[in-house]
Amino acid sequence: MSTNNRLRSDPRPGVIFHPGLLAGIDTIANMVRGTLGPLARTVAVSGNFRTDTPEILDDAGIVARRVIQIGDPVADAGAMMMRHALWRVRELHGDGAATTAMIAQTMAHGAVRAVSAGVHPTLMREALTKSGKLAITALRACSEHIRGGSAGRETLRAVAQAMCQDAELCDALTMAVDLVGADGGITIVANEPRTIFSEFIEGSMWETGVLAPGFSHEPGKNMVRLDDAAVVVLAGTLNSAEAVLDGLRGLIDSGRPRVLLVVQGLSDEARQVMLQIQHRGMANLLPVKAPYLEGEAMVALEDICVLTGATQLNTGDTAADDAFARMAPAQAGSARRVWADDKRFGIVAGARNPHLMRERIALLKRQLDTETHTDMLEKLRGRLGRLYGGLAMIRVGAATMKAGSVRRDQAERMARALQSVLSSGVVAGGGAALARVAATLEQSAPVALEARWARDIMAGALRAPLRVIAENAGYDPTLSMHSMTHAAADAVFDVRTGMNAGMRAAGVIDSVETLCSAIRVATSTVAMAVTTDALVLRKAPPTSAFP
Amino acid sequence: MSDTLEQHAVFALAAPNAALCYAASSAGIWRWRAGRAARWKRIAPEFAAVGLPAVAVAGKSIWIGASGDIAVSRDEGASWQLSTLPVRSEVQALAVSPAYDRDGVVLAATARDGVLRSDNGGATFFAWNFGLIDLNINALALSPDFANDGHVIATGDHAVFVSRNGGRAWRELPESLAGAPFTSAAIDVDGTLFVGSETAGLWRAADVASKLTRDVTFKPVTVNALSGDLAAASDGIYRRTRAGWKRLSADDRALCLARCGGSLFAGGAEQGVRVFKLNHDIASP
Repeated sequence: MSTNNRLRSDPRPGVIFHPGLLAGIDTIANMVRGTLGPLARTVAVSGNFRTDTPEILDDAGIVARRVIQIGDPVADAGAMMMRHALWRVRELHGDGAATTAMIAQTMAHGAVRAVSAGVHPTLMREALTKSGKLAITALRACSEHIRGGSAGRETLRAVAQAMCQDAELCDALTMAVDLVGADGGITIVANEPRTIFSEFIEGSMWETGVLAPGFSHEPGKNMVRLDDAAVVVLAGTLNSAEAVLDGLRGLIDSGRPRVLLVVQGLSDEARQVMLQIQHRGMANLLPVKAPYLEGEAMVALEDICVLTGATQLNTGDTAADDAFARMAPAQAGSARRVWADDKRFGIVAGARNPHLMRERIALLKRQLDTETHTDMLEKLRGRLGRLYGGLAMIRVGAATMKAGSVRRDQAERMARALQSVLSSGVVAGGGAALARVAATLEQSAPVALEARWARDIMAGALRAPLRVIAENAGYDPTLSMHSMTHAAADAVFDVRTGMNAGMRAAGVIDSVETLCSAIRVATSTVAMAVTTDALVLRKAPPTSAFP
Repeated sequence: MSDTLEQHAVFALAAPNAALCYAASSAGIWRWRAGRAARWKRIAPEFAAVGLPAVAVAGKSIWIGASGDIAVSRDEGASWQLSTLPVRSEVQALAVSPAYDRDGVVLAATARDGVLRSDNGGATFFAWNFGLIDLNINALALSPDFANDGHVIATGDHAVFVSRNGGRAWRELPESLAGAPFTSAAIDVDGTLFVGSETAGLWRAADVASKLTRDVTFKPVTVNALSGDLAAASDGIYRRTRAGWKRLSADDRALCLARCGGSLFAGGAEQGVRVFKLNHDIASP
C-alpha cells in the first residue's frame, strides 16, 4: 500500500484526529437528522448527471449509503464509519438508521469531550461498551412481546404505518408477516399492474423448473404434481440411459414409482428413456433443474436433502451416472407432495429429520448474524424461509418504474422490520423507551471516573432521538422531554397530536431489537472512533458502493 | 353378544357440556347423554368398523378424524360429510376454536403433514406449517382466549411449537428438545402452557414466549393426556392445585380425559370409558 501522509499521534491520544472524525460523523448525522420520526422530511440526492432528477429519500440508511466521499480525508474517515454503522442497522432490521445516527453523534461528542478532559481513550471505550450493555439490558427489560390474534395484527400495522404512509403496502405486509411469522420467507417482486398482489406458497420453492417437456401427466397442463414422491438429489448431468434404468429400477421395485429428480442436466438419451418409462406407466417422473445459488452450488442441494431426508448421491467429483446407477432406495428422500412447472419447483412436507433441520436453521441464523453483504443476506434469508417451509410472495407495482423500485425497497425494509418486531417484541416508540432507559442509567453511581463519564454520555445519547423527533415535528424538545418525564410508564409523546398517550393507543411502537442494535452499533462506532490514534491515507482510495 | 363401548379402546373424548360426551374409539364414534338411563350409544353406524383417533365438538357439530380423512356432522351425528384435505392425512388429534360460532376454526394434528387448518367449519382444510420443522404432531391445544390472542400449541416427537396467529405460523418453544417426545398439551386460562412428555414428565411455560421447564411437582414420567387442570399419567389421574399436582385416582389406564359436569371421564385401551365422581381431592368410580 502506498501512502502519502502518515500522521503521528500527539502526546494526548486522539486529539489531532477527533475534531476531524467528529466533523465527518456530524456531516452524516446532520444529513439524516430530518428523516427521524413520524413527521419527518426527505433528503434530495443529486443524480449522476446534471440533468438527472434528484433522488428523494426518507430512509437514513439509503441516504448514508449514497455518500461515497466527503472532502477532508480525516472527516471522510468519520463519515465512512457512520455510513457503515447506519447501513448495517438498516440491513439487519430495515429500520433504525436515523436513530443510530442521533445516538452515535451525541455519544461521539461526549466521548471526545471526555478524552479531551483527560480520560484515557481505551478506558473510555471499555466504559462506553459496558454502559451500552447496561442500556440494552434495561431496554429489553421494558419490552413486551406482541400478542397474537387481532391485537397483534394491529400492533404490526401500527409499526408498519410508522415506517411508511402507503396504506396498501402496510396492509399487504402486515398480512404477510402475520401469516408467515417471524422466520417465514417473504419475497418482494415487481408487478406489471400498479397494484399489490399477495400469494402464499406452501412448502419450499426454488426458481428452477422442469428440465424437459413431456413429463406432464395431464395433457395441456404445465404444472406437474406428485403425491408421496421419492426425492433423488444428484449433482451433475445424467447422460447414460443404462444408468437411468438401473437407478429407477431400484426405486420402482421398492414400491416408490413417483420420483422427483433434482439434477443439473439430462442428456437427450437419458430424457428419452425417462419418457419411455413414463409413457409405459411404469413410473411418474419429474426431473427438475438443480437450483444453483451463485458461488454455492451445493448448499441448495444440501438444503433439499435436509428437507426431504435424501442423501446427495455425488458431490460433483464422482460421475452422476455411476452414482445414480448404484443408488440404494434408502438414499432417496421423500415428500408428501412435489410440484413443478417450467419456471419453479416445490417440495411440501418432506420427510425431514427435525434434529438436522434444527442444526441447519441454527447454522443459517449464525451466518445471518455475521454476514454483511446485502446479496448474501438475501440468499441466507431465502434459504431460511425455505427451511421453515413457507413463502409469501408479494408482487408490488406502481405508476412508474422508479416509483415501483422505491415501493419495493420500502416493502423489503418493512418486511424485515415487522419480522424483527414479531421476533423480539416492542417498546414504547418515538424515543420514549430510550429516554426512560437513560433515566434508569442515571440512577446508577459508578466509582470510576471513566464509568461516570460513560454513564452521562450514554444517558445523553439515549435522549437524543426523542429530542430530534420533537424538533422535526416543530416542538420545543425541552418541553416534550419534560412532559415525558412525568408521564405514565407506557406513555409516548405523540408528535402528531402533541400529547402524551399510551403506546398502543397512539400506535407509537418500536422494535426492541432494532433499538438494541442502534445502541450496540453506535457504541461500537464511537468506541472505534475515540481510540483512533493514527490515520493512514491511501493515495488513490478505491470507491465502492458497498459500505 | 351386544356391541358395547367397553369392548373397544377409546382414543379421544370430547364433552361439549355437562350432559353430553363423545368418545372416538377403535370401533367408531359413541355418545353418552346424562339422564336416568345414561349409557354409551353408538352413533354413525357407517363408521362402526373404523378406528377413530380424534374427535372434537362445538354445539351440534362433531368432527372425527381417521387415517386419511376427517368427517363432519352438523346435526349431532345424524348425517356426515367428508372434509376436503390437501392430501390423505393420518389425523391424530382435532381441536376446535372456543369461539367457533364466530371464526369457524378447526385444527387437525397429523402424523406426516403437520397441522391442517380450516376456517369454514371443517369443510376444507389447508396445511399451515410455516416454521413447523417437525411434521409429526401428536396433540393440539387452543388458548381459552383464542378469539383474541390466537395462541395454539402443537406437540411433536421432537419439539413443542406455538402459534400466535391461530395456527398458521409456528415457532419452536425454547428448550423444548429436552423433554421430547411430547404426547399432550393444554393452555390454562392465565396463559400458562402445559405439555406432557412420554418419558420426561410434565413441562410448563409461563406464556408462549417463555422457556419450557420441568414441573417438579408432577412426579410421574409418562403423561398420556392433559385436559384443563387434569392429567392422566402412568400411575394415575392428577389434578393441578395451587400447591402443585395431586393424585386423584390410581387408575393408570387412561389415554384420554374429559370433564363432564361433576364427573371425570377417562378413556383407555381397555374397558371403554370409566366414569369418576370428582370432589375436591379424590375421584371415585
